[in-house]
Amino acid sequence: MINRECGVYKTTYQSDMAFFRVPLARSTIIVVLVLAAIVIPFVATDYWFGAIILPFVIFSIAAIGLNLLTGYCGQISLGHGAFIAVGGYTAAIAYIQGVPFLLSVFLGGLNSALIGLLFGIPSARIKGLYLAMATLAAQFALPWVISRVVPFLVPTGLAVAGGDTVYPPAIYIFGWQVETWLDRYFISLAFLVLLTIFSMNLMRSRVGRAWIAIRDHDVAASILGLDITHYKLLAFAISSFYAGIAGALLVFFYFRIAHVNEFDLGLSIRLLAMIIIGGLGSILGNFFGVAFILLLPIFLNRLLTTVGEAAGIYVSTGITSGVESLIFGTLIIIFLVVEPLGMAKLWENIKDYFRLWPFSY
Amino acid sequence: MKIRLTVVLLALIGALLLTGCGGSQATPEVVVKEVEVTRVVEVAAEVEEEEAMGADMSKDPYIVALAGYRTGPFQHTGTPLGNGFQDVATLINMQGGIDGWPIKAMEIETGYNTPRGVEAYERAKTEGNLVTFIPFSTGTTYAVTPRAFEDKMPILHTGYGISAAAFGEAFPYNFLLSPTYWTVEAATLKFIAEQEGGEDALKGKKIGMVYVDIDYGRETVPLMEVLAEKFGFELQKFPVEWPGLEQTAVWTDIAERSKPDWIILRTWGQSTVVSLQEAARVGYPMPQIIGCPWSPTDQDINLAGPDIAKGVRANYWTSSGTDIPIIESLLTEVHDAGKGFGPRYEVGTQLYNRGVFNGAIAAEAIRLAAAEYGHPVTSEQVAWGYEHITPESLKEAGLAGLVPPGLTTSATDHMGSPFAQIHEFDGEKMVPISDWTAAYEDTVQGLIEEAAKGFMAENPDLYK
Amino acid sequence: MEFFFELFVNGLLTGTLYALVALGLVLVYKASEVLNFAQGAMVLIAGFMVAVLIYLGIPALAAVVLGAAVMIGMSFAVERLVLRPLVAQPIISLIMVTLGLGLFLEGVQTLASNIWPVYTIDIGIPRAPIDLGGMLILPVNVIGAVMAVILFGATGYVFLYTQTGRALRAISDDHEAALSVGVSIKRLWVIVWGAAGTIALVAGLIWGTRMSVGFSLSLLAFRAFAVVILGGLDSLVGAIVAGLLVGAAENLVAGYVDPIVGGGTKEFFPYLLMLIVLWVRPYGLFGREIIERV
Repeated sequence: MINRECGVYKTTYQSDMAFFRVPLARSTIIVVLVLAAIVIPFVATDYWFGAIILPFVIFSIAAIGLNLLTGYCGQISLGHGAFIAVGGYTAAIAYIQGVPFLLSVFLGGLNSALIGLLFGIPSARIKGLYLAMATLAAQFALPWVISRVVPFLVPTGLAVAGGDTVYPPAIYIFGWQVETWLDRYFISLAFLVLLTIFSMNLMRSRVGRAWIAIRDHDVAASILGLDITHYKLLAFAISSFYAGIAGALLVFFYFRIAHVNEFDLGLSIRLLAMIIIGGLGSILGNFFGVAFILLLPIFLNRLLTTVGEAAGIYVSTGITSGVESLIFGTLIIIFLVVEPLGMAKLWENIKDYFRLWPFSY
Repeated sequence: MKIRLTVVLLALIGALLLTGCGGSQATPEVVVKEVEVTRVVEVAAEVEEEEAMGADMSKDPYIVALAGYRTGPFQHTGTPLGNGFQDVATLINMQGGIDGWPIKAMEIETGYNTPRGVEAYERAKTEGNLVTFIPFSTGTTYAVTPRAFEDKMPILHTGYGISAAAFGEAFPYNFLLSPTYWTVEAATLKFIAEQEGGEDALKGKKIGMVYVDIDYGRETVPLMEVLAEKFGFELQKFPVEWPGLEQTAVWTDIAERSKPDWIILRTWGQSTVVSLQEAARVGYPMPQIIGCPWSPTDQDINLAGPDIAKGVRANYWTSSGTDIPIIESLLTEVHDAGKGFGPRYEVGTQLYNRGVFNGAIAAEAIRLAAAEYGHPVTSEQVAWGYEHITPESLKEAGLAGLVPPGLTTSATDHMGSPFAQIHEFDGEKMVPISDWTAAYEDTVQGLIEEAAKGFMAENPDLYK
Repeated sequence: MEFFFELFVNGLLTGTLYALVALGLVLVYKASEVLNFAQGAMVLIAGFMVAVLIYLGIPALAAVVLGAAVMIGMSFAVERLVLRPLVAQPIISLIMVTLGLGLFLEGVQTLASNIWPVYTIDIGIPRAPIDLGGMLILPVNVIGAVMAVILFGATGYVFLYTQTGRALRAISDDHEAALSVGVSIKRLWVIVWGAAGTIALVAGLIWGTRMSVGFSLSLLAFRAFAVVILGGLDSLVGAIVAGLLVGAAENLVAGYVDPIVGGGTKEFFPYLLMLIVLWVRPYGLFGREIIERV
């Protein structure tokens, strides 16, 4: 991932397919984990946890999920915002009905996987852009269904008015109350680490190889004897499972409220932007992409406000957010023009450049 | 070549991120230092000069944060709200602040997007002495309410948000300071009944509700269902899916099939413009359309075309116009001095005046709290201030005539005054055509208490 | 029955507007196999630009002409700065680039609209409805329909009877073969994006008059997505037929089903219709089937 590979010679297929392909990788991962688990809690303030770190962790889960589907299996989905909503709502309602926390998060993932499977069925017949647009149906139909079904499942709530707003109560895990941002961060991080390891291992398995074959050429894959419908549906299910878990964590920890308008088409598009900017078919790229799409607007906004204040003028927020969107759009274009394959590829290029450094020729 | 470009690019991004982070982290530290300094200065200032013009900008300002929107589908309604809010903060600071302490109107852009509203709340807390958060969106109000319990932060949602928040015991940090959605809707029904010739005449009538199908739009449906049963009229619901830009079928239905006698409009932003145009298309009589406080506004009518919208009515809880002390001073002291945030023609429109009301009432609460506890006050103490607003204190703040009469709050009553007033568009502006009215208060209060107590029972953890 | 006809006719009129935006999408797709996510933002910026020009005191007609000139000028910039560096790159990167372009244009509009708070276009279209045999219709819808017919006619003519049209058909048939016989893809991209910009301008004017110039204009393009997929991504005829179909069907469904289920069917019905059609015809009603070889 982020290690120099020079000097490593692989002599067996096993070593080429190993989880850590470079000896240094093991220690790098440990360093990153130590940073995440020990250093960040000491450095970060509540604002950093609440507005930046926690959403980064949770959206990374969703992005990895979508990357499994789009980056590895080659099926574009514009419905993931809705799958996240399904997961979030299912988990919140289950928790209110008395299901233990961890189980309700799992249930959220499971229900989302089922719905994802359902909306993945068209992939048996449709492909490419047509399929992408077919998943758009999920994005528009599911919120409608949610806002009509949820009021019957939670008879009273904060929004008395027929509300599709669900409001998860205080969270207890085996009697321990999750209260601070730190608790929320650690639980989300645990999910992220587990799901990342799972996805990396999945890619080393038969399923992962089948997905890549389908992405690269589905007709050839089916001629080779792969049941491509089966694998495509599996991709939809697993990908939506990730989305569902992310949705549950979003509802429990970040929004602390399930509100259907939050999971709109914009969210689906942002997720897709994350993995494309980050790099399709790259786990590391996910993190780059999430950082870019999620955090850059926040930083741009702060930067513009800071600059405005330093210059002693109060700029209308309308103007700053216009400039923000303008710069953000430009940066997306520039990044893709510089490297159409995303930031993961950019990273590879930089690594290649330094591979023989300082003795390059 | 590509590599070099990449490295430069990444360096640029890195620099950008660093500046961004730097801004967010450095602020609290700076603020802490300022507080220590100003405590010394404060004593001196109070002794020396009470009547100094202009707020003492070296003092740690009170921050009132507004999660506004000058972008997105609600731009034309969010902008005047924000401008009024900014102007009143300018005015207060020019007039010496709050006992010499400056107030900072901090606006954070959300585009009417709830997650960004939550982010705005978290960010506002890091900027210094935040004493009030104004969400300007029903969705954001819901989302930040549990956080307000934890932070003891007053959430000021005037005329929108959680109706049950009128019941102060259940929502100690939510302040409406204005009639709830339900209260206003009941008054609207009363007005309809009067037009029909009494409540008995409502029997068998058809009343339609055109609303955007989000929390804001749906909020009054349960109340109307109760009232429909009580008075025997037929309630017809016409939900419009968010963001409500396509209403052809709804209005054709209204004109050709359902034929309601009256329509209560609960749309917002561009959807109101579409509603008015479609109503004109099917020829529905405008005076039979009565909006909730947020639709139609002067801005919506201007966009839909003043010629077609003549006669449309709305039930407002603030007065329009410039004939109000504080609005007059805004015109003479702020706009004439060229310090106005927005265009001058906006001053006096409903939404601008509501922006003014938000800023002014927050300042008033700070003043009341400071009179009780002394500067600088904390957010929890400002919440106390919001609970002790009286008509006299409002008059002093120049708000008399802007707010409903008799606005008095207490620890249990976070609504203050139940009165609203029907306005009609006379071809140029909205003019009041009825007295300040309140109606069916028992029914409304019953619903409010039921909802609030339900909330208390469901969330015992919040009240520990 | 009155109810039915009023829904139906108004639906058809709305449908022509969907077809108009769909036309822009189909043109861009034919030339570059890209689904243009910036089309909605183009509608927004074009409409807003004309509104501002009128607000600044330029006569309506001149403002429209100037707007069209800017949209065409923009197509040159887009081709040179955005599309050309991405030739022969993965399609998904190209799609993402159009999304970035959309964000850019929306940013420009947001910025400008906070400087000039203009939300209405007044190009002299009357607002009072026309009574057509008991049916009430907005004049702006009729004008929109007429404009759609004219633009479709013009596009059809160009495609069938001119050199450029032949080149466009060649390029949508087979990119590489067309390039190898000397068709200039750069020139075609400018033409296509310029045409899409002009179409966006017309749509922006019509929709802007109807529901004010605001951010929501850019959301309407997502309905046009359902339309192009339903009709077939590369089919002009498909764009018209599917546009009318979606417009009429969604209105009828909303009129008859909404009261039963509590509203909101209009938002997703076009997509449902699209799913059903795709199940039977995976490349839309009139889309060309892609035959794959290994």
